[in-house]
Amino acid sequence: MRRNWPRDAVEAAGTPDALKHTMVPRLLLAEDDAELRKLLADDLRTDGWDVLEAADGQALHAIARDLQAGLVAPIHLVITDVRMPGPPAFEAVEQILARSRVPVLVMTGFLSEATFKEARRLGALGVFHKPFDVDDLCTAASCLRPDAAQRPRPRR
Amino acid sequence: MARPLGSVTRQLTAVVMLGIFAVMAVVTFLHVAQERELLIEEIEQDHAFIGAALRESVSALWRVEGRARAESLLEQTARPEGVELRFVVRPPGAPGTRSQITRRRIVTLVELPRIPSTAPMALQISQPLDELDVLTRTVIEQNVVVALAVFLVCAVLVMGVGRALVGDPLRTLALQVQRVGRGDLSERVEATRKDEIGRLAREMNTMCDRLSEANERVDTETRARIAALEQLRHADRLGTVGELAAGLAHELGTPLNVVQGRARRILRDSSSPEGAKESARIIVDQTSRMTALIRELLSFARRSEPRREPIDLRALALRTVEIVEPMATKRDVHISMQMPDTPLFASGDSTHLQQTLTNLLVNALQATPAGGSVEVAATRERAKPPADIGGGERDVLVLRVRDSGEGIEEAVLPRIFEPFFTTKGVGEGTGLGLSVCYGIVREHGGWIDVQSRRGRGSTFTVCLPRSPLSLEAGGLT
Repeated sequence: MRRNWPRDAVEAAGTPDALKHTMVPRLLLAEDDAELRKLLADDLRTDGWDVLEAADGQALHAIARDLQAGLVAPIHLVITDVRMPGPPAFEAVEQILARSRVPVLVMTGFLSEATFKEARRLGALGVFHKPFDVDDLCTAASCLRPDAAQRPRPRR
Repeated sequence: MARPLGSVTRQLTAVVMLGIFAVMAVVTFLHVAQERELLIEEIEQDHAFIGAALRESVSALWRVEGRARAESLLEQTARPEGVELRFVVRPPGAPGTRSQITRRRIVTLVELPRIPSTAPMALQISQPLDELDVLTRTVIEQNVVVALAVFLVCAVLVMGVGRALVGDPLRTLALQVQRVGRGDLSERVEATRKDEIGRLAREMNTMCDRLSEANERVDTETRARIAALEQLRHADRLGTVGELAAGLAHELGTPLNVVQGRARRILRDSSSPEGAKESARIIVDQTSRMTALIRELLSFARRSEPRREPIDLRALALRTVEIVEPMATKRDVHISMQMPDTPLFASGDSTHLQQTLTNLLVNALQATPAGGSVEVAATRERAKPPADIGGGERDVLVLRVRDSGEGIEEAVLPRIFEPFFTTKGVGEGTGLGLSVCYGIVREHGGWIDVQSRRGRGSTFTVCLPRSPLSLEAGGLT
């Protein structure tokens, strides 16, 4: 479960700098429910995203570490569940943001005040409360593509 | 009277008989004395008559022909049997005719006219009192017969009347007291009589009425108390449902998301029947998952009459963990289960027992910080019940919930089973949960043990008696 994205795909992506201007946008999708993850990943891939999947907190943290170490190609968007088995998702997201400011979308089943505040603190651009419309998420993701025409300004 | 204290009637009869005996004895004595008096008087009259008849003739004969002729005349005189006639010297100071009784004889001296050349003489008539004895015997015999007859009649009367007036009513009352003693207050005794027994019967009936009323009051109160308790339990259950529902909402969010996404995909591309089929299958799976979750929560929330049925505690624990699992996920607490391979059958109400375990689990989850763990175990153990239940060590079925939370302060520990006692913040707990657990477990004949150390977590141990079935099940496996 440490890595559920193809190793060779990461290598093929080349160096982070080379990837900055690639035409294939990449996003990190962290969701512990296999069915939902598969559904979202399929739809996002259909939309033209290269999707990195993390099935739990451990996997998310591993990817965050790898991103920080520059071991994998950089990503352009993070979509993450809040509560998953393993270490807290937000810690991993903070780690990723420390390296490069990428937009963050949060999905949660427990929309508590605390979760909302934490998401805002991280600079998340949207909090999707389950059950949400999958199309809305895909649309939001599309708006956040690096090649998108009208990219919303990240909130600071 | 073999058993003189055996019955009131017998005692009464004995006393009456004694009375009759005493009266008859006195009557007989008086009767005998009177008869004796009459007889003596009669004999004395006879003697006086004989004396008067012989007096002149014998004294004249003595004076003319001498003492020997007079004595022979006395011998020839006709007289009743046993009567003796002879001359005696008249004692001084005894003039006329007088009788006296000496040594079982009646002796009468009749003064004779003065005969020259002799001392003053008297004619002595004496007669034995044998007749008196015969008479006395006759009188006594008659009286004994009368006494026996009176005895018999009185005995029959007293026994009969005594039984009817005292014995039977008392037996009826005793039976009633016995019934009351057994707790049967339905019957009333007949209380028509105006005497003391009637009064006793009336008082007893009044007492039964009052007891019935009191019983009814207690019954009503007990029913009300049970209803109130059931309401409290329901309130507690609903409180827990609220807590669980928050977790359930998250648990439902994800499958709903999947269903929505899949349905949308089917709508969008009708070109791939295989893909649509796959999506439909996933929708069905997700729907069943949600149905199961909701059903568990509903069955937990539903109010039910207490029942007694064999319950496998392992299955109960599994079901309960399933419904609290979403809450555990929400709080990021891991629940581990330790269950034996063989069934653990307790006897009781599964809804109530599930409520108990749910409360303990919810408490444990609330006490445990994120990342911690809660352990649920079901086992068979030997344990000694607390003092208020009493008895020695016994085999019990155990449900144990151990958390790695903050523990319970020692000062608070004795109070945790009190209703409305809570250490949780306002709106977090009703303070009913543990008191409800305590009540339910006690109703099942069991008890709850708590062990807690500040900062080291708490362990709640529910001990339940084994169902008769658990022996069979234990023997089978």
